[in-house]
Amino acid sequence: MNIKKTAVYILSLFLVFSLLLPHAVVTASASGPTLTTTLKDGAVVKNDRLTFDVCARNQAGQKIASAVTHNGERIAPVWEDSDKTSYTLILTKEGENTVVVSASSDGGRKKQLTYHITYIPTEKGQPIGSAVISVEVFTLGCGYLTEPELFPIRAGETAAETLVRLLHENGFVCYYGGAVEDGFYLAYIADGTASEKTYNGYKKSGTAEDPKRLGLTPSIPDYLHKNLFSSMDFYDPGDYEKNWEGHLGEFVISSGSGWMYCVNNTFPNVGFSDVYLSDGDVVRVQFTLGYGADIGGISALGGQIPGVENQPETGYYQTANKDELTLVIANARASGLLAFENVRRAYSDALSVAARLDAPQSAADGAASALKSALANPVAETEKPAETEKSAETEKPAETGKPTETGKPDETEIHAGTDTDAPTDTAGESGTPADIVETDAPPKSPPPLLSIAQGIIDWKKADVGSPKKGDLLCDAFLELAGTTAGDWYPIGLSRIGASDNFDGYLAVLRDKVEERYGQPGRLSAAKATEWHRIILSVLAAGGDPTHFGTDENGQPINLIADGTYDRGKTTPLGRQGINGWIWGLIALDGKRYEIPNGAYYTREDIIFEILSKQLSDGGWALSGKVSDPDLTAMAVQALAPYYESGEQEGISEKTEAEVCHAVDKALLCLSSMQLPTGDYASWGTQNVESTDQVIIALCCLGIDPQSDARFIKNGNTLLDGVLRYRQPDGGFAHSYDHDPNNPASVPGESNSMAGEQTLLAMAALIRQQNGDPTLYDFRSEEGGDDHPVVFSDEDRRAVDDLPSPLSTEQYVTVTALLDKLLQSEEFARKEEYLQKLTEAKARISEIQAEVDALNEEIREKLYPFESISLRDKKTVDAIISRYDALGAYDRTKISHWDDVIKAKTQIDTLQRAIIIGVVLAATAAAASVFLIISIRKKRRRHADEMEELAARFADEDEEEDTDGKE
Amino acid sequence: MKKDILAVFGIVLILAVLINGTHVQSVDEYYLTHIDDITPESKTVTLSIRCDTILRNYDDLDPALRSEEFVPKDGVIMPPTEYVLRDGDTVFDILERAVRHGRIQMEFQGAEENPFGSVYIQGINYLYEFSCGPLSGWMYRVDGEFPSRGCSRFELCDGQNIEWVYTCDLGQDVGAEWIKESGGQGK
Repeated sequence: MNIKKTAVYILSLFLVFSLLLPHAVVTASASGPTLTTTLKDGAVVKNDRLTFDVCARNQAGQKIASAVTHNGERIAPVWEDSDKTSYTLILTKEGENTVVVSASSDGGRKKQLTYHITYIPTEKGQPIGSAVISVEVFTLGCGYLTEPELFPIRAGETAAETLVRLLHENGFVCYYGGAVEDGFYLAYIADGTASEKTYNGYKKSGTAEDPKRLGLTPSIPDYLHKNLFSSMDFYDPGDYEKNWEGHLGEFVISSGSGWMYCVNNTFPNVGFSDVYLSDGDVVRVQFTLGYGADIGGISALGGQIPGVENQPETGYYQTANKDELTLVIANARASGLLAFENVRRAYSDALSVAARLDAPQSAADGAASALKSALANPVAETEKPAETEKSAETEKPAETGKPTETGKPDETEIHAGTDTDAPTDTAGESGTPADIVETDAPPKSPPPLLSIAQGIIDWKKADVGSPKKGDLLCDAFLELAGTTAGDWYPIGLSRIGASDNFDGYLAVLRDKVEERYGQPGRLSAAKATEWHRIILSVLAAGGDPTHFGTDENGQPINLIADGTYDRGKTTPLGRQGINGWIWGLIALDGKRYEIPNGAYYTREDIIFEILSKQLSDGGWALSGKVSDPDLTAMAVQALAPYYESGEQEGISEKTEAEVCHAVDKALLCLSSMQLPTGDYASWGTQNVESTDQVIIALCCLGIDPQSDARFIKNGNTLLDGVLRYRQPDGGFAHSYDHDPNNPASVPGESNSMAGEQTLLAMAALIRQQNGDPTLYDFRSEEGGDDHPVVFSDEDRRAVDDLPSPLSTEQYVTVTALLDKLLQSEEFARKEEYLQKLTEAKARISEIQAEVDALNEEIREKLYPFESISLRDKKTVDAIISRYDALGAYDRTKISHWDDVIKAKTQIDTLQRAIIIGVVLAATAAAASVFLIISIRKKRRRHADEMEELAARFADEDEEEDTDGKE
Repeated sequence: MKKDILAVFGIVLILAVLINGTHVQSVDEYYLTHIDDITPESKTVTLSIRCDTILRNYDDLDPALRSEEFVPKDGVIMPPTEYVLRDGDTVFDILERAVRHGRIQMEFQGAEENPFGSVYIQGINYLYEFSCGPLSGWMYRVDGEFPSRGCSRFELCDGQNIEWVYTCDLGQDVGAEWIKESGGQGK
């Protein structure tokens, strides 16, 4: 009876299990295979063969198969024994080689190890200087396809690879035979937009950056035409347009056409992939129509190619060595001096000599030396009226990379579109430098500066979701107080004289600064510019950076001391580079703060650091030897107060003289970097912010950017340069090109950083026109203004409307209201409000602390996941109950909550496993007991029966016996 | 007799189940707790964190950080490790998962707090931007290339290899030529 029951119970349990089993898992932990090798990551090897062993085992310790890839290619084992597998790397790629060793076992668990092996002697890929490279289509009368440029070359890179890179960077692609490493043959150079994977059986080289079309209209020079006509099997001057448009290469126009190249004026006999370029080489890639006879390269072809033997051995004409000329042209392009009239003229002459195939050596040399001397003495265009200059410009083909169409139609549109009732009085005030602009009567007058600035503010308001009539410094914006994204707009707003919620901004900023002062490193361990930006924004908002809140010891926070002259006591001011020195000086001079005795730095120390980092060309850069317009402009902004000022005390005359010299050089450098469109390019990207910084720099020096001849190119002023980036929504675009360094910016779309810097530039210009102190000179600003603060009805309503319970969502509101209340005049219920707000502030801080603590607890206690066990149950349960106690908004501030749920689930599973285990064990035990008892019972019954039987038999026997006896 | 055999069989079965383990989970629970398990079907990416460049520029390193605790001898803060790729995972998601699970310190600036609209990694393993000279900081490579997007804007695909590398020279020492801290960030 019992057995039957037990069996039924077990069976039903089994059934339940069999239902569960397909979905659920009965797991034993598996850690996957183990994998070791004798390779060493980061190893540097000098031999081109490297043999190593791989030892891969599954969990049971048995050897399993492994796989090795070398630079992505599977390599075969050399030998194997019972314990390991050996491989030999054949290192052909100089430099870093990637070796990936992997093995899988135990249900697909995979282990993978990646090694980076560096192969020398020649470390491939390292920059080793630059070569001058040009691509020439002189034979078609089309000048340069790519003008000579100083192109970076890399160790171990074949000339073919270099050329492909150059073409791609210039917007073209090529079709080639062989490979760039070996047997490369340049068949065609084609439009960057060419989409064919192959062309006449030749492979495409990849994709061009910023694709361009070849845009060729062949017009073969007469002196060449005659030769070709008489000696070519096939020759059709119209062939390119008819059959090849967009592809220039072999057999185009003539049977003797194709691409040839010379290195240092020699046409090598080997292919492009067999040549490794060195620093200073001059490489001219040229299109020939006559087996090289037209470009001085006939000898390179030898006699292998049919048709060559018909060509004159010495070529059609004498060709000059144009290496020097090519080099000087490249230098001129790199110099940034093309805006100077004499340089431009010499440059244009040089181009036309270079393009003449039969130019005598003397002409080439003469053009080269003329351009050289122009570069040494650039002369800015002088009294020439803008009109003539423009027409002179149109005669010449556009020589600088970009077409100069600019945004002129846009500009007029914007101008016409600006509301005429915008305040324009600033522009016409007499006695201001703006007069010069007026009297010069420039052909296009820019929109009023204030309306440009207002456009930016309106755009930013829309961006943060604030109404047009509302404050830009609204709650959503104030969340960003104290960050790079949040501090520049308040400065710009204040400096154009706009009214906004500066008190609220200051309150939140002070609170954030106090909080950050409680952390190690305070505002930033390494970046002193965190202090500098905040100092300037505090000044702009009307606060006092020398007493800005209190630190954890109750001492007033002195941002000026901690961020500038005493910064060196914790971290050098220049830890982050030149930026730290420059902005430190700008912040320190916000109110020309005095440096006390015993400070870590003197003013001269900081000035000296800036001066010592000036590059030989007169500018400054974050790194390298090429000046950057932004940093150069910022350095000028920092040095401006010491430039011919005579007002500075504590600065030696010698230092002041050095500053003057440095600033003069910097101005020349900035002038030379300005583009014909009036703007600047930084790190290769033409952008608005660089131009903004130059405007600010000039205004700091008291130079009028609108009239200084050094900063008007082609009739375009810096302001013209800035306005190119203005968008219909009132905002400004960072650039019209894709800028890999500014990933948030979309070409031609308004961008926050472009807006804030342009707003600052407009502020600088407006202040100059009004005769106000310069942008970063806050000396005339009243610190801690005495205007009576009224805690308005609206403010009171805001307090009454605070939700209950509170959450960190109300942080900005409460912080700003409390600050305002503290400063406000007495009123009837002030105490009541004060208590309410103080409590609210304390509660919000508590919640914030709880959110931080909970985040910390999760990070500290719940990882790694594999280590979660039943012992963590209490921790996890506590975390969950704390989380449940938070409001909905604050819960969103807990990161990786899913990991907590995951841990909770894991613990529940473990717990359930134990319960099930206990139940099953108990069942098994009970079943066993029943079984044993029932077996015993059976046995006993059996024994009893036997006994009975035996007794019965015994009785019978006895009877028999008795019978017998009887 | 038959009943006895059935009972014995039942007991053996229970013991077998007990020995095998008694993790019983619903489908949802199973997927939740095994979301990061690597199976032959799972999409994965590999992530490593290295700071070799500091070893070559040790003199520039903040003296407080001159310890193997911060700069391991081989420059490897985390060797290449495979992670399951969840839908929509960005480079930042994987990095955060990796440092959480590997219990490595990391500090970042949220996407809204900087003008580039992407998360900016300030420090890993206490090595911060500018910890080793003015041109130093963290950069990442995906399959050997330095992407032109912030790490929280780079969505990953199956099999990609992410390397977080510390540079002491604006990327030039790790093979990136064009990287810079764009004008605005340092201001």
